[in-house]
Amino acid sequence: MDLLVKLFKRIALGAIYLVGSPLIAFAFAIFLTYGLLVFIGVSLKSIYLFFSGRGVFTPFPEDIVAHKRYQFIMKQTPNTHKAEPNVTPLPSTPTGPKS
Amino acid sequence: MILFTAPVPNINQRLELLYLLIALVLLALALVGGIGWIFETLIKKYGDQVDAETWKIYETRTVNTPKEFAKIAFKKSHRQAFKDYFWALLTIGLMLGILFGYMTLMNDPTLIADLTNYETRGFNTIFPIFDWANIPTSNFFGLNIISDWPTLLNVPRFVPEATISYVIFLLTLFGGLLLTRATLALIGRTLRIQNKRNQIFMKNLDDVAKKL
Repeated sequence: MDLLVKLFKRIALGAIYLVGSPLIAFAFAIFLTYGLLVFIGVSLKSIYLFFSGRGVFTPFPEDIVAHKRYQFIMKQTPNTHKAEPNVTPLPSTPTGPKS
Repeated sequence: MILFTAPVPNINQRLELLYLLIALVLLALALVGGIGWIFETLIKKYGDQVDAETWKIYETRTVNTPKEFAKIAFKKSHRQAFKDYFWALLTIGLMLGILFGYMTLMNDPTLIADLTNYETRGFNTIFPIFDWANIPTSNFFGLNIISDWPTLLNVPRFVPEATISYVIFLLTLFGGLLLTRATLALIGRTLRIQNKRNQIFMKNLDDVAKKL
């Protein structure tokens, strides 16, 4: 029964897609044009950034701020899952302190 | 062929033909629905790239308004679109370079006209070609509908002279797929940003009630 309902849904969807296909094709063409314009825009911006001595695909300022804040939050949050042994080996003994 | 030689079909035969026609139409609609479902799933999948790129910015409250969120999300989406379109356009550029390079180096200006030819050295030589323009039809219930397979014009075969056409065809196909993928991903990301820009900053009393 479920399979039959699914099949009828698929058929109805097919009819909707078929009727709306000119509109779908038009929307796809609009997005393709938008994508190509974005490509040209980002290319020109990248060339300008490159020749002015700045990085092309460097992280955004918002990303840097978010990363710092995230690290700060992670440090503030106590790690309750696993207790790490706080053992620091001595510099003179590579294998660590002998017991 | 029986349909041509048989006299006027009786009512039962006509009904059977009608049911067959209805079944074929439903099958075609289900197929279109299936293809649409695949495209819809792909758009949703590509839209999830936005979540992976912006969750940290939202979680750390680096942006606090829908406008700020949309601005940074679109910047990231455009950067991703550049990378996607770069490979697609590079493939298409490579295809055009090979085509025009071959025509110039080999002094072969007729290659571009022969690309789709199935008789000489086009890529269509490896595909079966049917005579769809002259497909047999018959009159049923006042409708002129298809009643038999069309004539086979070309039997698939490998033609060594057509190797350059095969290479160009494969590069065009690959470039077209990459271009479609890049556009679907752009659609997915744009829809996801537009849907979520207001939702994530919405003050919902239902959520507050759940916490109490």
